[in-house]
This record gives sequence, C-alpha cells and structure tokens, in this order.
Amino acid sequence: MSSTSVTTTSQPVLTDVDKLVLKRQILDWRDTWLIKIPIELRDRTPAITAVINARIETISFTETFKAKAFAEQQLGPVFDRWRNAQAHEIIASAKKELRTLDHPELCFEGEFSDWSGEDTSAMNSVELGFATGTAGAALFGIPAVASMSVQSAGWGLGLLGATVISWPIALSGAAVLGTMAVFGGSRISKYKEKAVKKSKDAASVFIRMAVFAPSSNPPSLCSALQGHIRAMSLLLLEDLKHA
Amino acid sequence: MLEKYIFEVPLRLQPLVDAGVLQRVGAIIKDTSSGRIVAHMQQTGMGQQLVGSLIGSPFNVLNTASSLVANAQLAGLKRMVEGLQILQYANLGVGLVGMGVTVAGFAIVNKKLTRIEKTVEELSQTMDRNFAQLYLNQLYRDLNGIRGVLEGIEASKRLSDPKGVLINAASRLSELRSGVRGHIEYQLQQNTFDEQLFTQLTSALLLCDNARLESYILANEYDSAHFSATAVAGSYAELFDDVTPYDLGQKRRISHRQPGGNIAATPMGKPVGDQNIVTALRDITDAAATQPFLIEALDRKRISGPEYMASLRDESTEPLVLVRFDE
Repeated sequence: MSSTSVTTTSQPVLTDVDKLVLKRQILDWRDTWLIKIPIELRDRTPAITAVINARIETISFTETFKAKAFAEQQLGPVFDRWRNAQAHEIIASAKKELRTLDHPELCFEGEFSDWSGEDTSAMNSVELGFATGTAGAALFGIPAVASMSVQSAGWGLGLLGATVISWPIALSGAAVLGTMAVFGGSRISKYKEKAVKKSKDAASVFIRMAVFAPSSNPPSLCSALQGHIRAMSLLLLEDLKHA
Repeated sequence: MLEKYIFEVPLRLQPLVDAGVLQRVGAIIKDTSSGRIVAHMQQTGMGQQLVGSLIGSPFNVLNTASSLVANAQLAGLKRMVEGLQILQYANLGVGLVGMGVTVAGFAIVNKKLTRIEKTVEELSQTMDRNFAQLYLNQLYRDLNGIRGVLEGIEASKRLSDPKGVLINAASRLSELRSGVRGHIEYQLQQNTFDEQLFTQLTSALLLCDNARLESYILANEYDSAHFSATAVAGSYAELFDDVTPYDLGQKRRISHRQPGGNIAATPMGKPVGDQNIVTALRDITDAAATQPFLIEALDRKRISGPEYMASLRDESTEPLVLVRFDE
C-alpha cells in the first residue's frame, strides 16, 4: 500500500506564513522535476538502446523464425529491468531533494513503496490517474506494452508485443530469409544483416515510444514518473493544509 | 497626528534579506527566526506610474540596455525589484504588489484595459470566426463592465459620502472577475498556450481583484476586504498552482506545430518564457495570500482606509515602500 503523509513534530506549530513558504517549495520542487525527468531519461535511454541492439545482434538464424519468443525472453526482461531501475532511481532522487526543504519541523515521511505493476491500490490507480488493473502493467508489464505496440503500429513498429504484433519487421525479415535460403550463404547473411538493422530501428522507435510518448493511456515511463511527481506534490499540499 | 505606520525604503532592509535575517514571502517581509511580520510591501503612486509606463513592454526591457532603463527612476525600480525578486510583476503589467488600482489613477488603468482589448482583438484573427465572435463579445462585455465600475470608483472620489458607491462597485467587481476567471480557465484547458492572451487576461483579473479590495478599504470595510482578499488568494491558488513550466512548454510546442501556429509573444514581440510566467504567477499567488495580513494590521491599528490609500498615492520619491506598523 502506498502512502505519503506530512507529519509534524509537536513543536513549533507551523504558521500560515510558514505553510506558504513550504507550499512554494513543494510547487517549485514539482516544477523542477517535471522538467528534469525527461532530461534524465534522455540521458539514460542511449544505454538501454545499446544493450537491446547488442542482444539483437546475437539473434541466430533459427531465432529469426521465432521472433516473438526472442523478444519476450531476451529483450522484454532486459527492457523491464532497465525501466524499473530508472523509475526507482529517479523517484528516489526526487524524494531526496524533497527532504532538504528547509523546514526541520516538517518531516516528509511515508513511502510510495512497492511502486510496481501489482500495486493497484486506490492511491496509485486514482491519484496517479492510471486505470485500475492496467496501471502498473502499463508501466512494467509486457501485455500493456503489447497494447502500446498495437497503438503505435501506425508509425512505429512494436518490438516487444506478445499478442497482436509479434515483432513484424523481424518476421518479415525471417520470411525473406526463408525465400533466400535456396540462394546460398552470402545472400542469407546479407538479408539477415538487413533484418537485424530493421529490427534495431524498430527497437529504437519502440524504446522512444515506451519512454517518452506523451500519451497517457497507457503512460510512457516519462508520463508515469511525471504523474507520480504530480501525485506526490498533491498529497503533500493536501497534508500541508492540515498540518 | 500619531504615526501608526511608516514607509521604509526597501533597500534599507535589503542587507538583512540578503543575510537571511529577514525573508520575503509574498508581499510581506518576515523575521526568519521568529516568523514575526516585519513589514508589508506596497507599491506607491510613483511605482504605479513607472509600471504603467512599461505596459506593453516585454519583461526583458528591464534586462537590456534600452532607453527606458536609462531613465534613472526606472533603474532605481529595477534594482529594487530585482533584489526582491519581483521583477516578473512588471511583465504582467500589473501592480508590483497587490493594491494600486485606485492609487495609479484611472488613466493608467484605462490604458491597461485598452491594451488588453487590443491584444484580444489582434488574437481573434487566428481564431475560428464564429467562435471568435462569441468569445470576443463576452470578453468585451466583461472588460467594459470592469471599465465602467472603475470609472464609478474614480467618480466616487468627488462624493461627500462615497461608501455606498464603493461597496456596490466591489460587489459588481466580484461578479465581473468571475467572467475573467472563466476566460483564464478556458485558456488553461486548451492544448495550446497563447502567452499574450493569457498574460493579458491575468492582468485583467488582478486589476479587477485589486480594485475590489481597494474599494472595501476606501470604504473602511475591513471585514469585507479581508474576506475578499482571502477568497482571492484561494482563487489564485486554484487557478495557478497547477500551471507548470513543463506543461506550458508542451502546449507551446503544440501551438508551434499547428498550421499557422507561432509562439505567442508579448506585445513587443518577444516571448517571456514559461519559467518567468510561472514564477510571476507564484509571486502573485503568494502576494495575494499575504494580503489579508496587511488588512488585519490596518484594521487592528484602526487606520483610516482613505488616508492610507492617499498616503500611498502621494508618495512621490519611492516606487515601492515597506509599511511598518507601530506595534
């Protein structure tokens, strides 16, 4: 269960002016992190793109015929781990800054703990504006990622799709490979290279979508983190009113 | 006459603010350690004239070497407001701190309203014709309503007993501000952001609210003034707390992408910037939140509202003063 609360020690009581100062600090904190999150993610995304590309490079001839399984087993978990790590690191940094607000009388306690796909508590689903059930999955789960792939298929091809779209570029590459098999090794190699390149391009588009897409349903990593910051600030401001 | 309050030059307290002994919060200066309110910032008639001369000028006129900055008085104001981090107010073309509509005089206020109308008229060229017509009709009605009420307040100065007129004016302004607030809310709900229209509408709202507050003070109705000031502060928080530089930036990008879209600019052509707008909105909200403290002090010290406003109007050497009460 996630919870955040502002608790006050017994003394001294916050005056209205103190509250005003704190409120401004919370708003400034929120504003700063809303801008900082996409910048942080922009700095971190090349690393995961490189890792995914490296995995794609290792795809074997037979695996190209089982692209869906390859994506699910080899790429999906890597991307998920990276995504979870970024989410936790960024939120931890934001919370660390929050604790430096210059009012020792006011302690920001409570944790947005276990901010995971399984957490469908009222706070996460309502306060964060996510749809119950798909909330966490949208951020961390393969099925939701698959639906994003479907949605984005018009302009960017999905990579990790487990249901509707199963790595279409790779599949088409595999079909080409099947046809070309009769022409010998050099042509197979050439067309495999082409398929790998197309897959990398698709991966790059997918990662960009999953991390930065402005759409809120399902939310990209950036939107979800920003939503989390907004929710935290709302809760803090609400608690501050009663402090 | 017993001095119940004094005007102090802000620069005299600036070293204490710099040293962290004093802290500015909204329109008040407080003692950092005790939390006691030391002074209330107030703009004088001279300050209003200076800000009035900047109406239609972009924020960064004050940052660049222009002929305006060559003006010694303006340079003084620049130093003063920079130190107190309230330069952004000038950008919105409104009073630096809270009250100042009746202090400024109707000529300046009228100039502000005319500028708002002109801006909106220019912007209507880019709107859908039918929508623009409806929107403009309503907005003109609201702005002209404000103009009419302000004219009434100005005329009341010649009445032997203006109290009734002032209270009616305050009540009417309360209705009119709802219309302006609605326009701002509508703008904020859009996927795009028009800086020019937004700042002009915000300016109109502040003008309306300041005039309402001053009407009550001039009528010596401190209880109503306090109630209104508190309501206004809550209204600004509701309206502006959710506005963030990130969201404005996103909306601006969408505006830019639309056919014929352009980054809306200040009347002189240069955008103010999302961070500056939001900082200004936060300052305005904080200043409004501290306004009730000033009214409480005026009431507690039994200071005559008309006399207090007259002393702000008559201050001819300082654009901004710190009001200290004899506690």
